[in-house]
Amino acid sequence: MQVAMTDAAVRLIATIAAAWALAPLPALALTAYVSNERDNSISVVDLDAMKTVRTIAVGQRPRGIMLTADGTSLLVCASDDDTIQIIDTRTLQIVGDLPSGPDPETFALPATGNPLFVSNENDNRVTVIDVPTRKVLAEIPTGVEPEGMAISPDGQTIVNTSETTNMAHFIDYATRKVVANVLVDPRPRVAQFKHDGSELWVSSELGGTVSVIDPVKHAVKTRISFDIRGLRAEAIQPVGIRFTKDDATAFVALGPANRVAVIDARTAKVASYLLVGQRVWQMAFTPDEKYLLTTNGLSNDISVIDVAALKVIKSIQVGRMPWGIVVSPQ
Amino acid sequence: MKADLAALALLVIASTTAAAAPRTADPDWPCQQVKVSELSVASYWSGPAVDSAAINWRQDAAVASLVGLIVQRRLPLDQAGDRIADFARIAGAERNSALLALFAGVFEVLNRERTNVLNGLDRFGERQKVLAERLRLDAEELRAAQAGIPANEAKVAELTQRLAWDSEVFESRRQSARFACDLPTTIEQRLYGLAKAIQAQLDNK
Repeated sequence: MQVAMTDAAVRLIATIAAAWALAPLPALALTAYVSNERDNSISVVDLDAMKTVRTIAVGQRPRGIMLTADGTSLLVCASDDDTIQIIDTRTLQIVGDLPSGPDPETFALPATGNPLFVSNENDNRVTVIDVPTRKVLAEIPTGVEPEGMAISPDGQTIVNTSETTNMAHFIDYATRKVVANVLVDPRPRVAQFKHDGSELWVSSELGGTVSVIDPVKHAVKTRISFDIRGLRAEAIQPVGIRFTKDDATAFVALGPANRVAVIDARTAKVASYLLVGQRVWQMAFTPDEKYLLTTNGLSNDISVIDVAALKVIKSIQVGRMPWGIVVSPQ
Repeated sequence: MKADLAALALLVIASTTAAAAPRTADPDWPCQQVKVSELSVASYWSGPAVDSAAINWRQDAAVASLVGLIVQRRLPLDQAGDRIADFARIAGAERNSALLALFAGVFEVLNRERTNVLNGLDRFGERQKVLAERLRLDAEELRAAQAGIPANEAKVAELTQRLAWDSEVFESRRQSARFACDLPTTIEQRLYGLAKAIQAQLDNK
C-alpha cells in the first residue's frame, strides 16, 4: 500500500534535512574568518580543532573583514570589485552586498553595531552605510586618500589616516567636518582607540613607530619605537594594533620583522617581542582573550598566541596572502 | 588622432608615476612594497646565535652541496625538508653546529640572490624614469609640430610613430614590473620555509 505524503510532511522532512545538513557547519564552533588577498577567498578556521575547515570563494582582493554585532553576517571588502560582500555565517553563502563606493580597503563599526564607516582610498572619501537597510547614509569627503579607519567608543568621532598627508584626521560625525589633523610618522596605517576612549594609537609603516594620541587635545603624547636585536630598522613596519579589554596590554604587528610587540599600554613601554609567521599584518582576539590570532601574509598562515603565557603555540595554514581576521562571538 | 596619442602618452606617464610613486628614500625603486634592502637573520631564525660571517660553511662539502640543492625553488619545500632531516641524522653529535652552518649558507646565498634582484629592479626603475622623460619631451615636441603653421607633417609622422612605440614599451615594462616586484618576496618565502625546516631539526635538549 502506498502512502501519499502530504505537503506538510514533505516540508517537515525538508526542514529536518536542512537542519541536519547545517548542524555540522563550523560556524557553530569558535570560528575565525581570514581574508586571503591573493586567493580571493575566506578561510574558515575551527579554533577548537585549530585547523582550516572551509574556504569560501569571494570577490577580488578581499582585505578588510568584520562581523556584524549579532555575529550573523560576515562583511568582506572585495577591494578590486568595489563592493562589500555579505556572507551568512550560518550557511557560509554570499547573500548580498553593500554599496561601499570604489576600492574599499578597511572599515569600522561603532560599539552600537551601526552604521558602517568605509574608507575609499581612490575616491578621497568615507562612505557611511546603514547595515540593516544596506543604504548609503552619507559620503564624507576627506580631501585626502583615507587609509586606516577608527571610530571613537562614543561613536562621535571618526578618524582616518592618510599616507598623502602622514596625518590622522579627526572628523566630527555630527557636523561631518574635519576638526583636527595630527601629524604622525610616514605612511600611517592602522588607527585604534583604547576601549575607554582615552587614547588613539596610530601605526606608521614607514616610520616604524606607533604614535599615542590624546583624542581630546589632538596631540601626540608619545611615540613608541621598536628595537629588535639583530634586525635592521627598515624591516620593522608596524601595522595592526589590538588592546586587551582592560586596556592594560597592547599588541602591535610589525610586518616583515615577523614579530608582534607586546606593550604595557599604560606606560607605552615595549615588554617583549613574539616571533610569529612571515610579514605579520592584522590580529584578532578570541572573545575570552585566551588567544590572539595574527595573519601572516607571506607564510600563508595564522599564528595562535597564548595571551596569558605570551607564547606562540600554533601555526594554522590558510589561503595565500592572508590579510584580515575576525573571530565569531560565540 | 595624433593629438590623442600625445595625450595618451602623457596619461600613461602620469598614471604610472602616481601608481609607482617611490614610497621609500630610494627614488628608483619601482615597487609598491616597502623596500627592505637587506634581510636580517633575526627575521627568520630564533635558534642559537648565528654569526654567518664567522661560519665558513663552504669548507664543509656536505653543507655546501646541500645549500646548493635546497635553495633551488624547483625542489618542492617538503622534499627540501626531507633532505634536511637526513642531513641532520647523518651529522649525529654535530647535529646542531651542522644545522647552523646549513642555515648560514642558505641565508647568505638567498640574501645575495635577493640583492641582485633588488639591484635589477632599481636599474629597471631608473630606465623607466628615463623613458618617461623622453615620452614627455616627445609629446611636447609633437604638439609644437602640430601647432606650427603650416604643420610640419614629416616631423608629426615621425614623432607619432616614435611615441606609439615608446608608449607600448613603457606600458609592457610596467606590466612586467608587477611580476618582477614579487620576486624578492618569493625568495623571502623560500628562505622562511627552509629556516623553519632547519630549526625543526635542532636538538633543543
